[in-house]
Amino acid sequence: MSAAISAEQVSKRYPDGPWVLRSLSLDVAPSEIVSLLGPSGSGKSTVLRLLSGLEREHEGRLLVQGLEVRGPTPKVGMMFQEPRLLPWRTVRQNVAFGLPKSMASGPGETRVERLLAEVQLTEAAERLPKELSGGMAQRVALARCLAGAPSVLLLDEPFSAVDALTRMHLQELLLSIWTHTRLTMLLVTHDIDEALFLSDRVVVLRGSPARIEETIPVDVPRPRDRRDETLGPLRAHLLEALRLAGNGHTKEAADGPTGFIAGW
Amino acid sequence: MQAAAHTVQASASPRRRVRAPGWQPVARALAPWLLPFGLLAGWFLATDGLHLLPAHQLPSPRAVVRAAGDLLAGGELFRHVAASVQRVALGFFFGAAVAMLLGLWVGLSRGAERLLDPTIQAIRNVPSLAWVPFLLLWMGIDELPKVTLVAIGAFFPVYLNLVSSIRQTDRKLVELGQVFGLTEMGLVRHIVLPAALPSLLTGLRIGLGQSWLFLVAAELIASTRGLGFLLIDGQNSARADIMLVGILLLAVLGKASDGALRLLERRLLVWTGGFGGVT
Repeated sequence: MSAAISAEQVSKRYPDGPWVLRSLSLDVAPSEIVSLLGPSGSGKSTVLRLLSGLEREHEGRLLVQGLEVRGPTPKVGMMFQEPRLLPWRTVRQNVAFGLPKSMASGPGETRVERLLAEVQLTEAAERLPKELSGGMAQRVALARCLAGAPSVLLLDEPFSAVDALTRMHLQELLLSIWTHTRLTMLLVTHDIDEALFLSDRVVVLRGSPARIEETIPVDVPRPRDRRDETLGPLRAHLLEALRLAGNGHTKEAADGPTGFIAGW
Repeated sequence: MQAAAHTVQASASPRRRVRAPGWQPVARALAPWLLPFGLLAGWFLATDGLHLLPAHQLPSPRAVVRAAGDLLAGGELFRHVAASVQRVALGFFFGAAVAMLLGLWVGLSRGAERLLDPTIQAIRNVPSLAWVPFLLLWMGIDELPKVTLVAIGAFFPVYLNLVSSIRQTDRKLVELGQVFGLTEMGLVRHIVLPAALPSLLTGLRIGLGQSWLFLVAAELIASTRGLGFLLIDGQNSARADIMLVGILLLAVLGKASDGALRLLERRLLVWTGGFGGVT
């Protein structure tokens, strides 16, 4: 089967702005988990926004399951850095917000309850978002994404705003969901450990305009142990690659008119 | 046992928290009445108590109660109150309804904003009393001009609050709606309108307050009934006690109608997580 996500020579610039992406090509196989790792401002999020259909204008081809991206579709789930829950809806109603519009209420309710149980929020189903912790709110957001039964899940630094322990729990939750759904996932992160724990491949981006610095396969069977010794050299390698990507960013800025300050 | 509990509490917080429990709720319930009763006491002292002011300038509370009793017995008081309440209810209803329709349209559409908003903003600056002669000229001296003036008063706060809150809808939530495949109508229904609700309710409360202000403007000029008429009538017959009856009734009715909206607000907005003030 062809790639679940495929970007061919994609370039993107905002009106009158610099190029954010330049000739970026990337394939994600079905059921694969790929992390985009890069320094901030390297255009990682733009890749996801283009794939989700939130950003339209671009050059090159963007395909999800063989179909050109022309706008948001239920096939593509998107999880943002912030939970973005609707504050006037309860947890249960927020999850139900993600249900396909065509779905009848009966099966819809069943699916919502199953997802609430899956993210361990059945007890909190009647609570309002203002009463949730950051980790709980992200679990609601995850369940809401899954309610639409997407075939591809895009995750934009979804766990970056919670504490380290909660982050690990959320990562494990994500993997347990992957284990039975085999969802294709493209994850943007700046956390090396997160990339190593979750993904089959780590794609290191180098910034403005973003292009691929290096692609590193993580051939470690799941479930992974975060302290696995085989991950050690990979971590060191990624750290170095990320450092280089970050330097490249600075060097490039140093070539600009404000070079003195940026380089310094 | 009791003493031990006290020491623990005292050491836990340096501030004195040991004072009789159950006294605080009582204080909270009484606090809003402190000022009205203080004013009443001051009023009594200035008139019947110490006779600081002559009765034709400031009638005593007892004189005002007597005047209210006379008006009540004659059935006039009820007639005035009913007329005013009806005008406010009708005017507020229509003013707020038109404001919500136009506010929704202007809030959602830049085209509608270009078309309507400058004119609406210009009309907004016309003082209420300036409308009165023209409304009388166009609509005669029946209920219509009065209700219309009240509607004008209710319109602007509702309109302004709705437009600005629609424009300030969190982009992130709109994006979320788009990701989940909402149509434009769906976005309005599920994201924009719920998000605008707190501000809309504030607009409705201010609009209701304005309705009472504009009501009196309408009734002061051409009417034979209503609390505004009562004020003018009291002035013309040099009855300060009657004027005070009118003023107090306006205050009470305004407060009561606002209280009803506040109750609605509290029921609809349990989800907001605002600051809420300190204790």
